[in-house]
Amino acid sequence: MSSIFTILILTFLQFFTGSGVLSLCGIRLKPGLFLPLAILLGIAVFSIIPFLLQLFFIPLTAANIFISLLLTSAALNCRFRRSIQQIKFLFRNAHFGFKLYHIPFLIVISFIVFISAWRCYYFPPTPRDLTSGPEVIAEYTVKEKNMINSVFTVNLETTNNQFKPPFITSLQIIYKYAGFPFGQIWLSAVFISFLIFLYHALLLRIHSLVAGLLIIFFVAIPEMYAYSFMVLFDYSNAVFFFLSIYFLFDYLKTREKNKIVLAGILMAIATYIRSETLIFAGLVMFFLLWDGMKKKIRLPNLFMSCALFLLPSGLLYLLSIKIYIDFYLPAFYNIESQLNPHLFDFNLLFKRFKDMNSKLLFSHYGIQLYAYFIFIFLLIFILDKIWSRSNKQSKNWLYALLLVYFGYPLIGHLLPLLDIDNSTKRGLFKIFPFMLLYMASSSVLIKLSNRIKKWEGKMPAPQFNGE
Amino acid sequence: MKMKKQLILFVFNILLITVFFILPQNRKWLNEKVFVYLKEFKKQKEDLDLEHRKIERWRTDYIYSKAISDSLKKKSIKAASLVLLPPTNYFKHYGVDFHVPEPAVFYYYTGVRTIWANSGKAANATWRVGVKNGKIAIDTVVNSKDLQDSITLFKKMGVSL
Repeated sequence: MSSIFTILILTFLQFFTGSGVLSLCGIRLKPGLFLPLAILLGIAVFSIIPFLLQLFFIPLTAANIFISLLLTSAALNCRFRRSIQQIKFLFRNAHFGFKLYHIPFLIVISFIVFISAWRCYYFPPTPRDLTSGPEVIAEYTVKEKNMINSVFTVNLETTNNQFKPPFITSLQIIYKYAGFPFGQIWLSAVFISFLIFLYHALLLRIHSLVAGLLIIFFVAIPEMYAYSFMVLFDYSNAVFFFLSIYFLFDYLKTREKNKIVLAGILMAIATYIRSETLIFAGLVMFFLLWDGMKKKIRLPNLFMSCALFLLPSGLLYLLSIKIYIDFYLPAFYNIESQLNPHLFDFNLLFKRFKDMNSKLLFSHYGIQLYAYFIFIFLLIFILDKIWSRSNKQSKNWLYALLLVYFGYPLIGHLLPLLDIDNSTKRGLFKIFPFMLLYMASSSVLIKLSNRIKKWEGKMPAPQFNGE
Repeated sequence: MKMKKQLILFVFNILLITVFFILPQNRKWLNEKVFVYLKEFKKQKEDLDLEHRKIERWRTDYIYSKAISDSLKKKSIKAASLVLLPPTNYFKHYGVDFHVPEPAVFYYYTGVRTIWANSGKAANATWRVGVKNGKIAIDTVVNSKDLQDSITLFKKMGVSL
């Protein structure tokens, strides 16, 4: 019982912290999008605090950490009146619109989510990448009040996980101090918040019945579901990468500066979780440039957008990788040695692309990993091409998923240590939310949704973009 | 009329969800993962002891690691001691089901510093783990030749994660 109470307090504090960030960015969203996004941003801010304390050599005691979290939360809500207004607006506009036909969807999702959350709480961390790096460091941080602790006196020749960015380590420390010996439960908060966000993002375009079904298809991706309770970097990375692209597309539509600021912050968090995301951020910037040139945006404005998008990622990368590893950790890590020495020999690039398709995506093993989600997407994609003209929104999501599809072989070519069987397999989690949003933006499902709405006696919803 | 339409959509929704979970891979996933996990939950909620949860998850990796660490504690070793661990294949050869955790994971499980034979620093070990009469045994390193023989033997058996 006390565990549930602690989770509620932490989640509320995360929500309050995240809503402060959104308020500072001047982002107004529908309640169904605002609430989960605020929690996710709160978790992201939490994950930076113990790391920052470490950078300033402040002992990582429970008191220091929780006081810092409270102060940060208060500081981010410096526009207190605006934050409170936003929260009031949120509750005033929250209407659930519950229908009888939502029950089957709600039961199935609640059941699957409950099992995930329970396993997350009950079992200790399992993946070797975690227990040989972030988790063991977090465990001894709690004992020794320092992230640079006795773990670094152990023989670490078999692993490089001690050099991973401190996203997981920091959250594990907070949750261990909060009374969860295995930490981890923050992942359930990420998982649930992300599902709520996705569902409401789908609702902006399609009928709740179709949206609910799509969410079930998404949750039932076996490999991705497994990582909703086994802590590793990839699930959270996929979440923040998706959110960044979501707000980037929103920016491209509205050209409101606060959207690109938020997209940049979210991409920085994704980079903080997995450092190679910086390469994706660079690739996304080309898209930003191309779109800007197509729309004849003035060059200074275009460069400003690129800087707002890319700079936070670059800064956080510099802090969590270059500065932290080179100047704080008592061990040497040569990142440059991870780079492919034969960059212009493209055989590896083509092999990676071929292997990704033949081993992971379109194979019996691929079905075991991702079930039928890719094929459902392909079916909708083909139907969309046959029956309807694709719209601008669906095209954007298509670009995003192609970025991941072609981006991973490229990253595998640049950094051969990121293999197919582990890194690419889990890295492909990033592609599925884009497939989901593509389907929700496809003319086929929009038409179907409008027909259901008409038959129900409701006017088809106007297409707007989240505000 | 509105209620009737909602009821139709309700039935339609159940039908679609059922069809989705009848597909072979989805059915397999639901049965082998979600429903099995539900059965486990019913047992797990009765036993929240932390050690039990660790054993249930990490199995023999943890049980043997703890046994080694407990044995070392009984021998009241110094905190700075370094223990040479044989590779997994060595234990397999003697019929012991122990996937040897790498030093960082062993430290996480037990707080004991270990080293593998393929490390250049293996010669610094002060204790050595082996199998005697079918049981795991921990010996102090008597002399450097003895230790070097163990390192050579362990290396021959193939050290891997």
